[in-house]
Amino acid sequence: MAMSQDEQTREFVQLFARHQRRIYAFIRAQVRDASDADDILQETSAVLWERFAEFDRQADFTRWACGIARRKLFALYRLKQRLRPLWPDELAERYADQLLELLGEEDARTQALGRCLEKLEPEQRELIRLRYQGEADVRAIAARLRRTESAVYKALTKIHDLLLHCIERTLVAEGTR
Amino acid sequence: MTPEQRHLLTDLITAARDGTLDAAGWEQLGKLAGQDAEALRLYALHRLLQARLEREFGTGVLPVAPGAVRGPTTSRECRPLHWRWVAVGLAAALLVVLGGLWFLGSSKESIGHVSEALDCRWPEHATTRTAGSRLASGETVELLDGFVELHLDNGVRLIVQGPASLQLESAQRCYLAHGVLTAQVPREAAGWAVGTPSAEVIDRGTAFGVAVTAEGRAEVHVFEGAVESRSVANASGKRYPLKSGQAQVFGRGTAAIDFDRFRFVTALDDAGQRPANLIAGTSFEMISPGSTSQSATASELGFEAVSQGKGLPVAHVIGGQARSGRQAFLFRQGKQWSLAEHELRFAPVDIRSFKNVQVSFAWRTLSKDFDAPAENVLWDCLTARLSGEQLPGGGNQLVFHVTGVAMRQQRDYPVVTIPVPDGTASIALTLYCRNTDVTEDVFIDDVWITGARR
Repeated sequence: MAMSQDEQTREFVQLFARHQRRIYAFIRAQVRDASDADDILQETSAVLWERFAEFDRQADFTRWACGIARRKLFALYRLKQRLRPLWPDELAERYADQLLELLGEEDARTQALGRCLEKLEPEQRELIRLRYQGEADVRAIAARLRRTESAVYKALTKIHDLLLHCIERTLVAEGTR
Repeated sequence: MTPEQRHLLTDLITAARDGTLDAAGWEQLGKLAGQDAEALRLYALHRLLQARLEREFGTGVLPVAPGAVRGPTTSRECRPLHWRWVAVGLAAALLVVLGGLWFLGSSKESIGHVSEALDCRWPEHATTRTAGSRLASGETVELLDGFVELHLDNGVRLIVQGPASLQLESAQRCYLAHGVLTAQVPREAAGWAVGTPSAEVIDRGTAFGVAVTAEGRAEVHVFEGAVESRSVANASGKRYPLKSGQAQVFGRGTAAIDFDRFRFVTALDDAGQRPANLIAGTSFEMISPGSTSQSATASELGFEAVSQGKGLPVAHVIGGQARSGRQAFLFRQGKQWSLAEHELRFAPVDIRSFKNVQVSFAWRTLSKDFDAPAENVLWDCLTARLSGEQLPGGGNQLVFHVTGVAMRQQRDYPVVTIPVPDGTASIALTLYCRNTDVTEDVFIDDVWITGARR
């Protein structure tokens, strides 16, 4: 049944809003800088809209969108030296597949992250906040906390590991996996 | 994996995540990930965690995408997770949040009215406003599409460009959750402020624009006078004074950016200046010299979408830069395209339903020579060719050449405008440089096409 332009727009905006977190994560995990990920998400969103008519409404929007984001990314790799991963194409493709598979559980992981952050020690939480709020690098954080760079580096590595394990444990415990 | 390999993998992943991994490191990581599916999975898990953490703590992140979207979104996605973390230690942001709640609870005095509503679409749950509607403090103006002009009693005039959500916290302050806002503030109302998820803007008697993306990233562009801006995230509260012609972005960190006047509508229907007259336009992406930028087509730049009449709803996705119906199309943000080696070619744009059409572009150079300008420097290199298809029975093909535009200062931003004769069905623009020796620093910043609906 043909949909009016308005209905189509509304449907698209809703789908996009609901899935944009995952699409963004898919892109973000494949580029070095967050600002590049923002730009690519923007460009992808334009293509998604242009091709929305092709989207099979029974299919998973994230998968469809990530498929397009993926082609966009690989096209950009050819265009921009800066973005190019230093991996052979075959591995870069396998990596993208792996990301897609994990994104199936992205909502569960996002929810688990909230609880896992609560379980951190206050200092650990503060450290991770410093790291991600305003994208401070290790050197800046070390200077601010008057600690050595290597101590901050180690602590951050440990916190990331803690969070990762906590999230995966939560998923197993919940039977998501 | 041996314990040593595992240890190495952790270090490599950390460096990759921090963006400090070198080529040799990438090769090592690639080797480990290529041989061992578990290593590849671990790397993927870490990078996805990074994306989540950036969202969780990133200053520019809103919990939901456009406020207008109230679809069957699950509560999980709406959960404003990060507010909790804001409370952990972010005094400045906390003040903003509390400030917002404070005003919500305060008594609702009338502070102004809607002076114009143009092509507005309102969300189902939101109040519909027409010219003359009174505005009370604490009210939120939510707009899916179109433009609404507000006159506050203190003399402040605002144009809100949908999709947008603007809360009028008081006569002295508003909060733009997302969308595009243009403000004209008379001297008496100096100190008037706009809050956003990532920046606070305080007027110093001026005209300025604020654009907030769905992700909460805020751009401040000053047309006239001066404003003071600061990041909400930065507890030290460093202030960024901005003057006319300057712009700053706030999100993850903050940076000065190119001033982009075309993102903002400064007048609705005053003296025919309705935003309706922009047919198409774009600003470009910088491609580094030596790259194969010829392969970036006009469709990638968004032009084709316009000519096919499909450009419109992109606005709803990329934050209100493309406009609908009889309105404007402005794609992308103010980046540039180097003309050093190539020509820029645009897909034809159908202009049959417009009259008084003009093609314009703004260009500049970053050449050091212009720091100490000689008299009458002519930067005689840029050539614009406009070819057009005539309506059936029309005359010659249109071809214009524009060369030799003077530029005397580095920050000059000359605009070249080419009128298009009536009776033209479609137009296509080509820009190129004649003399590649001197042109490596010439940039085209924006191209736009204006016209009035027939």
